[in-house]
Amino acid sequence: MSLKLSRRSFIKASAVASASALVLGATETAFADEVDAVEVASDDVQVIPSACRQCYGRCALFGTVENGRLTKVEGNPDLFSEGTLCGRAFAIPQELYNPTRVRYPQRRVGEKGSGQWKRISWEEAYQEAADKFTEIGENYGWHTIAHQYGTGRDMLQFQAINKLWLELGSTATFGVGNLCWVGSYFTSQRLYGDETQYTGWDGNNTDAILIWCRQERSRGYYDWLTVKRAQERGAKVVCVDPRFTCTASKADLWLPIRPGSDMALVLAFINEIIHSEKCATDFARYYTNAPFFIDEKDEQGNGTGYQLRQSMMQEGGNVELYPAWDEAHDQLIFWSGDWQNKSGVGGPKAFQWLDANGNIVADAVPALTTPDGKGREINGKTYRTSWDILVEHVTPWTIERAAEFCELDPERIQEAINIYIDASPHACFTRGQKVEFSINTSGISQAFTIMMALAGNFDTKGGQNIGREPATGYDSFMFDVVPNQQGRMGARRKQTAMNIKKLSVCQNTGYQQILQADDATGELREVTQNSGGQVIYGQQGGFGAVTTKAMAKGEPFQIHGYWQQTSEPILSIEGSKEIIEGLKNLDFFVNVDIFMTPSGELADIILPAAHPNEVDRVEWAHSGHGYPTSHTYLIRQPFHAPLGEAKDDMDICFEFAKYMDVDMFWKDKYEFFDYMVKGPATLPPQLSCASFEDFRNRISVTGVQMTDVRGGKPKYETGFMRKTSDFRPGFNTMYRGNKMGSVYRFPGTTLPDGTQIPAHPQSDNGKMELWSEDLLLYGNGPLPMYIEPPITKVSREDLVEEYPYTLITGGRSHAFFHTEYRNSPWMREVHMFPTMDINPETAAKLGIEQDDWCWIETYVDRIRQRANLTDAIKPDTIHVEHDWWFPERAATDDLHGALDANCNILFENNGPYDPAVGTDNFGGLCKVYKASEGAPDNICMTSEDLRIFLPLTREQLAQDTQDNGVDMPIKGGM
Amino acid sequence: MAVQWPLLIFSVLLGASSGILIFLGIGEIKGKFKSVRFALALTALILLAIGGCASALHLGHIDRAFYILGNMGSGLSKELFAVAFVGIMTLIYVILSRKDYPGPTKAFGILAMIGAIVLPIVAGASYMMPARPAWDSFTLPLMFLGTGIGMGFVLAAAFVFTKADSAKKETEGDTAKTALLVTEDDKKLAMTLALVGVVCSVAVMLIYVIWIAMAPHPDPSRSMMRLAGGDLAVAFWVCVVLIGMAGPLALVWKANKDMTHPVADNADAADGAVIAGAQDGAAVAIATPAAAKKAANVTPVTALWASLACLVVGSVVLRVIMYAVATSVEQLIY
Amino acid sequence: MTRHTMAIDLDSCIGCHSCAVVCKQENNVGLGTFYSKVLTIGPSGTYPDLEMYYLPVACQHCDNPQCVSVCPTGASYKREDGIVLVDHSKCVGCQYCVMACPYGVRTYDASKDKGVIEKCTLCAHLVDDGKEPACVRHCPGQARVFGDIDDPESKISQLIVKKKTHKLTDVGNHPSVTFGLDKCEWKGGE
Repeated sequence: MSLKLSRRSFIKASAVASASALVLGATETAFADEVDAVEVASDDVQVIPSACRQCYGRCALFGTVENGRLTKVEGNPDLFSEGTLCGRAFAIPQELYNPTRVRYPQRRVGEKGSGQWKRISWEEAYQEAADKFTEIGENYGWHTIAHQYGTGRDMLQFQAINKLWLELGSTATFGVGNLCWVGSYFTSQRLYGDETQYTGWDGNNTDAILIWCRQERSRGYYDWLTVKRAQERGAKVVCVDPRFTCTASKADLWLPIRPGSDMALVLAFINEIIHSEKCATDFARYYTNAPFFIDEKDEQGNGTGYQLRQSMMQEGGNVELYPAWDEAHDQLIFWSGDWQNKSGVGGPKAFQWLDANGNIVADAVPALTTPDGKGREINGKTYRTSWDILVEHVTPWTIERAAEFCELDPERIQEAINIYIDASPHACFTRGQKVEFSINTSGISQAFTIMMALAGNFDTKGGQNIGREPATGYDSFMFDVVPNQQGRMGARRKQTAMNIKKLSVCQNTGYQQILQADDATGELREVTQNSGGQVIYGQQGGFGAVTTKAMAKGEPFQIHGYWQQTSEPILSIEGSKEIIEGLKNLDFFVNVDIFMTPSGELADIILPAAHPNEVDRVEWAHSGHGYPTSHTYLIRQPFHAPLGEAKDDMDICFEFAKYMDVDMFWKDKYEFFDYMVKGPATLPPQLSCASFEDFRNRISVTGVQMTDVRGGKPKYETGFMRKTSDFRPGFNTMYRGNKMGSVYRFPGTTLPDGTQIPAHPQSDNGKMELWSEDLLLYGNGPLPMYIEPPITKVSREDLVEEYPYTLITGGRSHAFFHTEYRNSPWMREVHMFPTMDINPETAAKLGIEQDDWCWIETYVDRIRQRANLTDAIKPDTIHVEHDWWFPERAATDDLHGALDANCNILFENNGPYDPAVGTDNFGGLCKVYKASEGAPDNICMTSEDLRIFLPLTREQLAQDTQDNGVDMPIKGGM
Repeated sequence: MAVQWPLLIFSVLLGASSGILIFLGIGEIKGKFKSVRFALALTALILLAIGGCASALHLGHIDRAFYILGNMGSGLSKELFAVAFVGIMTLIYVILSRKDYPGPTKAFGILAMIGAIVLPIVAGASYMMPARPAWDSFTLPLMFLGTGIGMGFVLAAAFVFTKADSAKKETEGDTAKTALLVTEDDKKLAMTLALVGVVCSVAVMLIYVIWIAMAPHPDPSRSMMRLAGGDLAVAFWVCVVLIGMAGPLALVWKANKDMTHPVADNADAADGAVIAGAQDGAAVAIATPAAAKKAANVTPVTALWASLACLVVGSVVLRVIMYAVATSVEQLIY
Repeated sequence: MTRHTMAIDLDSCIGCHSCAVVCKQENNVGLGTFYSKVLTIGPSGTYPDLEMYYLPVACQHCDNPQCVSVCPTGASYKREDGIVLVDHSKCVGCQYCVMACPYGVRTYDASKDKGVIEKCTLCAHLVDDGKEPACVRHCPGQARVFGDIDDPESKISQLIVKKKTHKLTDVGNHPSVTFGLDKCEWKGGE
């Protein structure tokens, strides 16, 4: 090997990468030789273009591979990450060759948690798993096998895991979505057919960015370049966050909001927007259900509470006709939602305003409001529009009230709102997960949607690009959609879906007491929570807390088997100790992972997963925004074959499916990759790859912006929001439970408490639903309500004396990605200890000094983290980091130290949860005191201690075939 | 900055060594100390050698020590040069002092003395770095020299008196050996020098502390507050002020008084100690009665050795403080 | 004359430590040693009007480097182009340069195979190859600019002209690295 050679091949790889930007044009073949040159440049040194999977950013990178070993990671300057990389990317070799990696299948030979393992063959492992799971399935029912995927590796393998286990009839998962992102994703899918909260903001052209509880450096750091350039152009940045984060420090305005009070602020935003001249009333009038009448329940309980249909007004009326008032002709008009042409008002009449005789009223102007907002009398009954109800709902949420709820200066709120409104319709919004850690995720997602919509920011330059636009048009979810469309859903999956009411662990959730703010007075009152069954989440049944209960307590039924892939629930789900109890209860547990983990130590069999940089994938930015970032597919290809006998997670699913006789539809992952990169037949050739191999050669494909296709018009005008390919203007609300097959409750059923849900078809009428029927049925109400989190100074005054500080958790650390990298010497060196942020004033009062180890105690339990004194946090608030464990501690030592600093120990899992999406509360009240014991025992305290985690050499890897399990590096025992 | 023990030990031993050589140099000029010069010069040489070895422990690559003269502009190169010069002069002086070559012996004694005056200054000067305000002053080499003179002079004087005592016993009735006897003049000069040395030491220590108080780029990490009432207060008040300054002054003053007025009332000495100690406030109050009582009963020899011990403690601890306050101008970096 | 150095736009720096880690990869820096450190300055001010910035600190490649003048062996030296380096084959590990450096950016690596002084080389091996230092190339905030400060056309000179600039405390060593900071009040010395 010579350095020169390495350099030359690197330059070639760079040339190829630049070509990737041009490859869509005519120059495609000009570089084909160059591509080959990369592959054959040298026998021993290769520079391989690939992608990073160490957070959601998916930055483009090159790996230098010498004699089959990755020696260097560098950024690829030609794609959206612009050659930048964060520390985690450079630490990839430390992950690949980490001594804690599982490289061969293992069977547990000692007690659960004893750390005693013996190597077995893949065949033995698969066969044993197949036998045991079949036994459980046949004896107890397949729903008593839980499955789990985490933020883990990537969306494509998530599809494979999901398909495998749904086909097998499994229902329960710990979920990852109920921790982050997916809750709001499904809520907004239901409201208008897209996510547009974390993603989809057009920072490249914006005049203002509203960043809600999101860190610049949590994931996809290139986002910061977008924000920074926007600021340099003169755009204002507003940051809402209880902590003075990096984002706050860069923002033009910071709103240090009281944790959990976000809804009050969003409602104030909406209130100000709705009463401003900037309010997008035309959008509301023509593209939302704002003009629709609502069949409100009156005091006698008459009325369905739903959106009014013609069928509710008159005998024989059409269920797909939604009445409204036509201001242009002073007449009652009806919106036809019959795009499927099932109710006789479809075809050309679908998505049109019709008069009483069913004729299209082309120039109809549906009224947003009724006279004085008091309602309009139709057939002897008075109806208000959903707009009327929305306006009435938000109007009392003044800036003053928000200031009081959020403990903010009203002038600051006013300033923030002004910045947002002034810049609209070229203002964008993005947020992080923390707003999601609540029992009102569905409501807050709806509120943000209303805010963005009424400010007129959807599909504008510098606003929100709604509608994900994958490079080729085919997204990962086609993995499951295609077979289902072709009628290839397995019988057991169908059976399970049909009987989900009995088979879901969520069947008894809800009915708990919550504190809701009365709109008129702003007073908190106790109300009984809806029982939504987490239907909007789309999951057949299961989120962290209920699956824990099923495993640990047998409620509503005992879970017997468990397949876990890419996840670590003990660290990431509330009620960690009960999760351990549950995992110990299991009859059979298979864990698929790269490393030995706390929960992995409780498994019966461990299957070694390949590292993300040892496998082929189509990759895309899960974080990036605007063009071209959100329109790019890039290759993630292996730097080398998986170590030992490790296998690609997707391959494991496909292989195990054969043992279980599951029809995965796709022959293997490549068949789906080919489909995905090829795209629909209508795709222009420069965007369509002949095959995955063609895509590999191109390195990346960047699609076009749909708004560009139709002269800059928003997608909801040009029909690009429709997933039905009918190209009708309007939106596409998702079918409930579409992803997982079906949900267990439809209107028309009786709830366990005897409530009758009046029958009616789900609304799917092309309108964005500001007022949501689904959230009426399954969420916290049809409009976003202020709900005080269950454990705050306001809701639990009884706890305040003993636990005087507001506790928040989970702020992202740039050194780690959730539970990952605690075994990386370089990243741990950057951030050695679990760190509690505390205000110096509070610390002084408590006699706590910088770097003191402290106990953080809630009414549930206590953990230890090290104090960082900082003015970035209010004196009454404490922040602790999430997902801490200590891989340097033995399995027998608290499951690799999973109990000392793990903040999920601090919270119970008994609800209430968000009724629609199952999210829980991850904050509360605590006390803090100095830990006289100091640091937890047996943890790495110095850089020197971290040497145990240094990468294994080639020789060490060759010698250690893990016949007796993974030789875990224990601190001090090199 | 963390205490660099090898360097600290080196600087203390080097100081003491230099003090002895200066003591002997003065003796050469005055024609005194002939009976002790060999032993003392050898002691000085050994101290210097031990110090040199200690400082070598600080190096990462002793094997490359040869390179150290690579940049004669650097303090360390000068220091090594000075050590080598003093070492060689002293070695020659040691050899000559056993023979009877009065001229050359005196010459090399004086040369060694000159080297010994320069060496602590050069050694101290190598610490003068703009980056560390607490070091960046001539008061630091002065402190090195002064404390060296204190330790060296008192050590030498103590040796002179010890030798005188033992010689008295050994040579009783043996007139042939009287040539080797320590003379009364020797003792007088030694005592005077011991006094001078202690005063010198106390003075430079005070001056250096004043420098710490007034060094530029003030910062809490190198402030007088740390010494007066902060984390270094005990080290400063007890080890430096009480033991390192007041103690030796009192002891040598007492020894001097005992020598010049051998019949003087011991109580006076005790008073002196009390007076000296009283200045140091409450902390001393506990130590003083015992010290005074002891002082009242000690001979000049014991007092001198005790004084030396005090000086060593003071010198070492002041250097510990010197490292502790040696934070950089860019304090926020630490 | 060419004077290679770096300018860091602190308004762009997000304190992510990427520079500290990529440096380990590029220069094979051992555990416990950082050529480049990242400090958090603040938050300061009166709540909620706070200010905070991150300060990446590595060798400042001074025009009058004290480390070079105190080095007894000449192992520490300054190149024609301004980069201050340590010739490990000459270094005796006396650590006087560590004491003389005002910025604490030199580290004595005591591990058996080293015993010498380590510090930022401004990736001289890459610079000689016509490339930028690894931290400059990969900085997620694109906060780092490398170049010839004597060339008014260079990116680095342009950045310096554009921003309010600061240097770490200068006690005669004349640090060459420039920090740009417009959004906050500079908390270091001048």
